[in-house]
Amino acid sequence: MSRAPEVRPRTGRDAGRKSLTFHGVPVSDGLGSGAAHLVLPEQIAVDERTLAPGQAADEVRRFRLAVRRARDEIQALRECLVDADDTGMRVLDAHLALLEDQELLKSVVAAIRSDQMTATAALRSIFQRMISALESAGTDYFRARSADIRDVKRRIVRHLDGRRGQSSHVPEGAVIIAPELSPSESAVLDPARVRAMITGHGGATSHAAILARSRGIPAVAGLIDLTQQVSTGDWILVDGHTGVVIVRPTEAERRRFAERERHQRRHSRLVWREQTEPAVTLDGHAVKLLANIETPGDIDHVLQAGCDGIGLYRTEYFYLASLDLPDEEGQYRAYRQVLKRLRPRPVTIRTLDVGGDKFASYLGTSRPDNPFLGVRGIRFLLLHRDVFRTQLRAILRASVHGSARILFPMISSVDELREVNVLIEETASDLRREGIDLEERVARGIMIEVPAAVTLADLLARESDFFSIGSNDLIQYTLAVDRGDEKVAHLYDPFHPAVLRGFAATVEASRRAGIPVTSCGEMSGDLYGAALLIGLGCLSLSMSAPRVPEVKHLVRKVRLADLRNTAEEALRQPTGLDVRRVLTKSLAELVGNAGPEPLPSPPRAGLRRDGSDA
Amino acid sequence: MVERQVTVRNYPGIHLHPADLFVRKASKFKAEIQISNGQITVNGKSIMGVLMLAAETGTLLTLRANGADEQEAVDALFDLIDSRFGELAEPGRGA
Repeated sequence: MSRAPEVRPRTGRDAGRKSLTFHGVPVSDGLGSGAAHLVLPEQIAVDERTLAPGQAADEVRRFRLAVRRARDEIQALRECLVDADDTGMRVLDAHLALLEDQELLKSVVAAIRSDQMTATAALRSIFQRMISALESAGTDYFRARSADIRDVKRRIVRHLDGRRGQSSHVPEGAVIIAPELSPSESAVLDPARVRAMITGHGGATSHAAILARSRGIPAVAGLIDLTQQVSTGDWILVDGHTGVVIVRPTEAERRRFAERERHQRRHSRLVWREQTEPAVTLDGHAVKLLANIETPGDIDHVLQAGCDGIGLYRTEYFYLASLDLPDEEGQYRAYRQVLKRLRPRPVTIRTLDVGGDKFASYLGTSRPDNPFLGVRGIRFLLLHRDVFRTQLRAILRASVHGSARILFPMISSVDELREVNVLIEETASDLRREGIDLEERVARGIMIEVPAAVTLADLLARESDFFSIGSNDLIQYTLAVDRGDEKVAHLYDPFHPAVLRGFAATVEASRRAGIPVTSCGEMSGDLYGAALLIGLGCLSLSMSAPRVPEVKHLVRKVRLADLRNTAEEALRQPTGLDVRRVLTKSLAELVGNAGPEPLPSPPRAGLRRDGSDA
Repeated sequence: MVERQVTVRNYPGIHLHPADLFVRKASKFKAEIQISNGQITVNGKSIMGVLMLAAETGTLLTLRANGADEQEAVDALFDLIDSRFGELAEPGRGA
């Protein structure tokens, strides 16, 4: 998950404080610049003194006051969130419950009174017992809850010291830099004050990243030592699309970045005008542009961007961002809301894809040796049938409110697909027996993200209603490259000939079987990736909503026939670099400088070992 | 005193939120409530106590209640765990 920063010093204006460029993991799109605001884990200075006789009563009073203030603070934070999503709310609610636990408070008070401990020492000793108990658990999700216990402890200690919450100190226009953000710190991130966010730990599925995306804050993760290279107030440039972070930029870098920001704004205004126009090529072929979403809160962006529907509704968010696995009713309400607002456009709901790196996200510790080859996706769901059934019931019930499709992750064999199909039928007949209204049949499709599924695409196509190419994982599994491992990350190449052949074979199998295929990985939102996929015959692309206008702009400027030729030529190339050359040249010819902004240079992975900046 | 055993069925187990639900339910009864995982026994009315059990899916727990409404208490808490919490969770604060 974590990736050591590549530090490449540059010549700055003043010799002592050089401009530095770092490459992190992009987790939330967009450009942002501002003054660094460091959020460091607080050093809790534990006062080890033994209290003198008679001091205990004062210490207990001090402790009780701190707890009361901590509670008030959480109440106040909750009030700020009333109209916001309920993710942050659930975090705060659970913290409040701990602060109200009489036994917990009594234990601390008893330690102060009978062991003559200071309040900080007593807190440490009592909270450590809870933390150790949780950390002894076998489940990552369970262990991750110890972050909440620590968070509550820190809040009390801050008030013992008479300090206020850090989150309230974030200055307007700041770039937040933190080794990691606690659950409650993430919950109250205010997009109006925060220009961008950089974290050390936690990838795209940490609390902080999920919230950054849903609130439109550009964010980069995986820069572990950054806090040691930056002081509060340093100017920082953050590119949430490429993961590039520049600390103390030179005049030239600042100018270039400002120019890009202006460009982006101008371009987006221009592109935005096309939002109600259809995504049709010059030679009259319609391309479906769909959005990937994580929460019902993302729908506004989807509707604004003029999307044709939702190609990927990731449901992990429920499980990662809240403190609990949601019940059927909670899921049903969320799905219904999305389906109703998108109606009559299709909404593809992907069942839980947990496992892999996802549960380990914000602690970043003790994950299985090989999580990507372990229990994840459909394997997890087939092992935890109750979780699976609950989700299927919620989706099937919600299906009457719009145009729902169900998508299953990580299918690698026909057996798995059959098992899933049986389970859906069983669930549907259970619901009918209970007298619940259902759609006659909800379309079900599978993710093509494991090489085995590509090889078996013709057979899988006979028993599913649609395909969805998950390019991120398919690339990773095809090339046997973990993107999070910095020693091999440069080998992660979306334009590797083996990857292209996998795409082509999948599209071909779906064409022969007469079932639709959508691509829903990051490649769909990349202009080169989109051009290639369309050229290969995948005329349905799903991406993060903010990418849709730009891809639509491209679609409206090209002819499908030309993209087909380009894709055919690309398929003949022996190396990824050759593929890139073909795509770069071809798009320059097809779109040229007529576009409002030159197309971005191809992604750097695989181009150069050191990876120059974008 | 009434005693009853129950296996944790929800995934991944009784972490923060289910612990909160359990304690809320337990606190509605007058009886003293203890819960044990075979190694430690804790107060069923304390979220700290319940968390200390680190009761993951599949853990066998023993519920004990002592007091006027001990039978109702044990049965209600048994049902809560046995029904995997979620299905009984009421919307509103903490749910």
